[in-house]
Amino acid sequence: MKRLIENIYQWFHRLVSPRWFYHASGKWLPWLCVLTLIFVSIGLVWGLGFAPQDAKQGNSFRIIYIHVPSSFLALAGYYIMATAGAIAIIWKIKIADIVMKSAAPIGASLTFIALLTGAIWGKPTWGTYWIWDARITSMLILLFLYLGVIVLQKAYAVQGLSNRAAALLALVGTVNIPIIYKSVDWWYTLHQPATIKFTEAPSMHPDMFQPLLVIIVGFYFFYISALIISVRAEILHRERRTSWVKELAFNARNRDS
Amino acid sequence: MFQFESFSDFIHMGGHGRYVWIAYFVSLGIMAWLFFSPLLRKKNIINKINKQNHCDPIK
Repeated sequence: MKRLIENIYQWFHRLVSPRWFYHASGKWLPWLCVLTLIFVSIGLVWGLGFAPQDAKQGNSFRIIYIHVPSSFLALAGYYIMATAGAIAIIWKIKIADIVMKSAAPIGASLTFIALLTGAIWGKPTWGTYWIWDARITSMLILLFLYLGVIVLQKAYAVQGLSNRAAALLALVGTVNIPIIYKSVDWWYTLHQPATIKFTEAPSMHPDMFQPLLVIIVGFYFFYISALIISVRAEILHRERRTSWVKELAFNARNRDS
Repeated sequence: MFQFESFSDFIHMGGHGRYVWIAYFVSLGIMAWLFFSPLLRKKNIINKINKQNHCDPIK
């Protein structure tokens, strides 16, 4: 029995070793990139040119095809970052720490895109770029949480301490996520309620909804691909003194020349 | 079915063109940067390692 547990433990450790992840993800990545390209381009062309315009908002409504998917991934990405941070603190798994570090700038960028497209959309629709509405304010807090995690990772000279501080901030910040989800129901101000709910049919015409669904799937593939690319670069950086990375670099040079 | 009568109609988008296109271009630009900057970083790391190890690393 003890032997079995040891075996499982060893297998698990190999599974989460940066070196194993680097090689395995190299096989997944091309497929993920192709899927990203297919779904995002179909969704964009469909949403920009073929979905009907909104009866009230006209064509400005087409911003939804960037705004909603980037908001989705900004929130989902925060869970991924916080979960990776928790795993890194509790089990001291290297790859979890790398995932947390890589997820922060991607999440921050997607939150920024959500806020920016929202602001641009607000001008023709609400007549203003910015308002301190509950949804918008809680999204701004999300951006600051992401930025806080990025800054904290560089705050201390001791790398382990920085990472632990960043992971703790990420964990505490998860409180904000349900607040963002519920903000449109709790404080009914300006931002419209959620278009897509798990419990109800979408409050959108299928002709408008289908391209949105396609592009949300595309954004998920984009997120996973971008995260993996970033994680791989960070793995090479952290393991740059190991023999397997030196060998990999050597082989890459031979291939190029 | 395509919703616009001509290409210039598509660009103009009934007066909302500049909002829609700015939103799309900036967003896709940021996403492209998220994609390509770590690829560039990876390449730089590999080049740097090779500069430090002139000879066969296995030796």
